[in-house]
Amino acid sequence: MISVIITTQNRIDDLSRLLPELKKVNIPQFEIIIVDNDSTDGSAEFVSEQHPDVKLIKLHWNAAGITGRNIAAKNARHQILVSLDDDAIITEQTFKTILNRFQEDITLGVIPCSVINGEKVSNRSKYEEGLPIDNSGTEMFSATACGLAFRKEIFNKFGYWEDWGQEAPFELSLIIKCLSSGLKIKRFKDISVFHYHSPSVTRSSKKAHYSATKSWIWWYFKFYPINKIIRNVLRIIHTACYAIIEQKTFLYINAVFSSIRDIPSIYFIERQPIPLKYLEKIRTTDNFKGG
Amino acid sequence: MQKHLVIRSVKAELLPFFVEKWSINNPNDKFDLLSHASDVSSGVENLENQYSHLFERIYTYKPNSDFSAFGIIKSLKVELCNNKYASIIIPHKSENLKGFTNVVMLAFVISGRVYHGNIDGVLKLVPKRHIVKIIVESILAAIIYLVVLPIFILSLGINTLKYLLNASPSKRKK
Repeated sequence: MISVIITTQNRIDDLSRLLPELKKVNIPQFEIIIVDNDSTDGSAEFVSEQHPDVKLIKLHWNAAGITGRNIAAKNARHQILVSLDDDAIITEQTFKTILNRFQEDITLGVIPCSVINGEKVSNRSKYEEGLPIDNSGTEMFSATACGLAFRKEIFNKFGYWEDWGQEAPFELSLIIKCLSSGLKIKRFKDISVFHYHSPSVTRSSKKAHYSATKSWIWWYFKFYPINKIIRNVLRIIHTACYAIIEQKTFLYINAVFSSIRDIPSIYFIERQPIPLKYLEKIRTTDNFKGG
Repeated sequence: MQKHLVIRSVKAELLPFFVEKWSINNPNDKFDLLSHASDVSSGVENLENQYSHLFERIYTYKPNSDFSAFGIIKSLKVELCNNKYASIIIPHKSENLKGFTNVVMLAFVISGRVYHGNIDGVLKLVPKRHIVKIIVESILAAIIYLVVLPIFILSLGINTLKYLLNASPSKRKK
């Protein structure tokens, strides 16, 4: 019924918090798939030795977020996928609620979980008991990969995520594919994910910013109408120029130029323009840090 | 007791860290929040559920656009200005305010006293001369932009031409 897909790299501590929680889930046909992006801290060994029933896919390179998630999704046996960050937790009760909501509403395609700061919650079950039951949900047009439940049939119809390396476009990509499938995206007040990212830990890397910049440019060329491609790409170039002065880095402008090589193939082969009615509802967040 | 406005420039679930740190030294202060209606992680409705104890009022910015001093809806700007906040707080996780230019400009439009705070809870006043710095940087960036843009367009044009020539059926036959 549910396949949980997780990618990880060098986060053995997070996995040792997450996996025992997932193992408590008592749902028939429930599988956990972990794609290990060539960890060097023993994460893969920890999973294979301590949790042999978890399906571990050990890569010998860092496939980054999207490729790893695609590999996990392709290996999933069930029709409901839950994409989960390794530093996040979804409780058994929430998995059951997710399953119920998908079974009750066949037009429901994606459920983005509300993100709760796990560090601030001492008792997850008690916290969830206090949430109002929300059978109707609220239709929305955004999602976060931290905790994201969706039907695999979306991939079957419109292909898997674009292997472009960064998170924001791939979340939106799922939203676009879901809407294109004629399915709905709904958030429910009683479906939450507990996220345990410490505020003192900055995990974003230069490599991530570099590939995110490229990804956004490609994203616009794949999905946007010409006028919006021009406007958004010019804005990215301007921001990259500003970063040269403000942040004293050529990282972003390098990314802009390195994106050029793949733009023609994305535009002429992969292009799937988004209908305007959806475009107006989607908020892109391609800015480099703030706001 | 003073009232402050927090601009949500970090993930929503990190907001309590900033507010609580501030409240240690100023326990009676009150806060409003300016956030996006289409907040990626939570949604405003959920923000209100989670943080009603932290914020007296949550204002929503335009759903599909980034914070901007020039893009803010006039009525919202007027309302925020009328609230006469003691300060505007820009929380962030980085070492400095780099990358937050739009948010800083928006904050200055709403009020003259702007603070930025990192995860240590240390809030620093953003001096008004920061605006001058932003303007100078913008001018320099515009000059670079004028140089970079034609190079980008030319490179993209050449690359596309190469692609089309390589992809043409006649080429493939050869």
